[in-house]
Amino acid sequence: MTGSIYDIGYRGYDGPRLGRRHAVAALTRHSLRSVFGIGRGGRAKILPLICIGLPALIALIFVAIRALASRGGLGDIPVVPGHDGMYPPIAAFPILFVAAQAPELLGRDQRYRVLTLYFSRALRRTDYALAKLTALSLGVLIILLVPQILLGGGAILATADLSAALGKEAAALPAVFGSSIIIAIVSAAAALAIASVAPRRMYATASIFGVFIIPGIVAAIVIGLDLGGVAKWIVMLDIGSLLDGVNGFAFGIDPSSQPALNSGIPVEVLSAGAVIIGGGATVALIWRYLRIQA
Amino acid sequence: MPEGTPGAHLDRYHGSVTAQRIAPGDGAPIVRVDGLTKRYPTVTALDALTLELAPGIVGLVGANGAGKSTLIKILLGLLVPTSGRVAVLGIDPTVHGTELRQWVGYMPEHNALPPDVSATELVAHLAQLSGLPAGAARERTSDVLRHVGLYEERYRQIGGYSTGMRQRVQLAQALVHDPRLLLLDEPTNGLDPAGRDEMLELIQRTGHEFGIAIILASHLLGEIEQVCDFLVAIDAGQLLRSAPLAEFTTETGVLTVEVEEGGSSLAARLAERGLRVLSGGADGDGRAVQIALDDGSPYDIIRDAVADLGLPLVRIERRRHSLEDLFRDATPSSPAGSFAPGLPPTQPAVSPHRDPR
Repeated sequence: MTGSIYDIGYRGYDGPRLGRRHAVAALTRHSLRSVFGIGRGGRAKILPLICIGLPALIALIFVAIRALASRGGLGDIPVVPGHDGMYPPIAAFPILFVAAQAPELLGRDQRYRVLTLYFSRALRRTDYALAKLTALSLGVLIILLVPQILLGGGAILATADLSAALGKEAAALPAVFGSSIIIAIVSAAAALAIASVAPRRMYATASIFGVFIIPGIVAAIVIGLDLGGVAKWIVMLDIGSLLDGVNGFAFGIDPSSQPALNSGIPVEVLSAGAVIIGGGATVALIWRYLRIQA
Repeated sequence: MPEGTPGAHLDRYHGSVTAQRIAPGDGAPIVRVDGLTKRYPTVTALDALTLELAPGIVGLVGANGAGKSTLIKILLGLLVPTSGRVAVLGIDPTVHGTELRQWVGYMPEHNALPPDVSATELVAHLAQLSGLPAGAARERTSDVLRHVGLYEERYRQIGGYSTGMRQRVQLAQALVHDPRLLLLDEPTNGLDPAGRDEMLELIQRTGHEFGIAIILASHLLGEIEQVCDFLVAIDAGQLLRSAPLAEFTTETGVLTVEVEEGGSSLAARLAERGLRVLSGGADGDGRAVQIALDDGSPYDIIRDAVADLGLPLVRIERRRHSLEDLFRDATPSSPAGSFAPGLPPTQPAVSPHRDPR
């Protein structure tokens, strides 16, 4: 026991009480900060920085190659991806990010029973779950959008015909934002739904990796064996393939041009699968938080 | 001891802001509960409880499992009652829970603090979740942490705190948004005797000087007697009694005479002299003799008897009702032994607490 209680008086508070919306916004803001390790120790920032930095680096390499090629008179070489091909090479980073940060976001509050302190305040259990989902989705969105912005910026700077380049970028915006938002929400919701039932960080991270990666490996083998028929539908269990489908659908990609999409299942169906997984995971997350003991 | 309403205190301490301080629920009782029942598949936690509580420090006593925590969670709007009506500060928690919780502070019975943040960060964050703007949340946090006696430590991570410091942080987070009602569930859990006294003093000051109504749930009768003005006793989800504390501890018509030895001969001598001996000598260790206080003063007779027998007298005391009597007399089903006034709480085996002791 240290210190003792001194009579320093007590001041009341007569200022505004901003209610539930303010509380939810504050929790979302706080969660978004902790998703990137802000307000935590230096070590907590390493992984978020890698997950933002490496995709950005990949985008910069694309920009550099294209700039060198056009200076060498090679023109617009099709091998270097544009906005439509930016997602597949960086797809591993959102998975790495949610596998590490979803348990961080939910596990502490469960393990140390901090939920009791949250639920006795001006928000509801559902609000808590949705604030965490919003924060993690925004985190993934930043990872996905930074490379796209660099790609667009590079194209605009490198061009001779500025107005044509600006028009082209503007035309790509809906597909870039649409696909990135859906991919972000689906990844975040799936990871949080898993983390919400596995308060121990290590198990949660391992489970998220398992759910995101193992069906993909199985699907690749099945597709590789070219069994045809019903077997190809196993792809619908692979979140990675579904998210590739979202990207393909948003940019109107010809499935035969991307190895990730050559299972023979239409991108519309893959996209619908992704939306169903995202919705289902969100419902599961909320359901869990309505029942969790606090 | 409640000098009227919180407003009465506030006139002294807060000048002109009285009207705002007692909103919401002006004039209404702090808590009103009518026929409140909460049933789980296998147990009935609350059974048609009807209560009305005025401002002040209210002790809520009952054995483990009597329904204290269930009642608190219903008052917070965290549990929905099976039937019955409830109003806290004039607000129905089952309908307007988020609104109500801006005005209510809650200190849980278990440790609910994450280890890897500082007290300042945590409390300021929680203040915002109670509806305070960011700037006010920071100001109130430093005020309140100082009020509960945390100084430089408040910038260190909570993981390194002692149990006493953690309990102070838990009280601070319940107070940070300046609630009108504070719900404290076993606030001295895990504290050593000195820490317990400090916590109780802090609670008493919070209730009496700052005009915050308090409901203090405890199974330690000694604590309740120390700080509460009003007592609500529940057992098996039913109201046992609800009255000012003084009514529970009135003097009885029994006088206790304690001697170091020779209790039985004293009892015999006193009976000889015409006093009504209720018990003594034979029971216990044979040192205390209980005498009925009928008309007239027995003190001279006792003095003479003790002197004649040459017994070493320890004390002559008029016995008071204790809270234990309440449970012993009223509920043969729940043994008074489950209450331990003044003793540290016995942690249940399934308790999730990590008590460092």
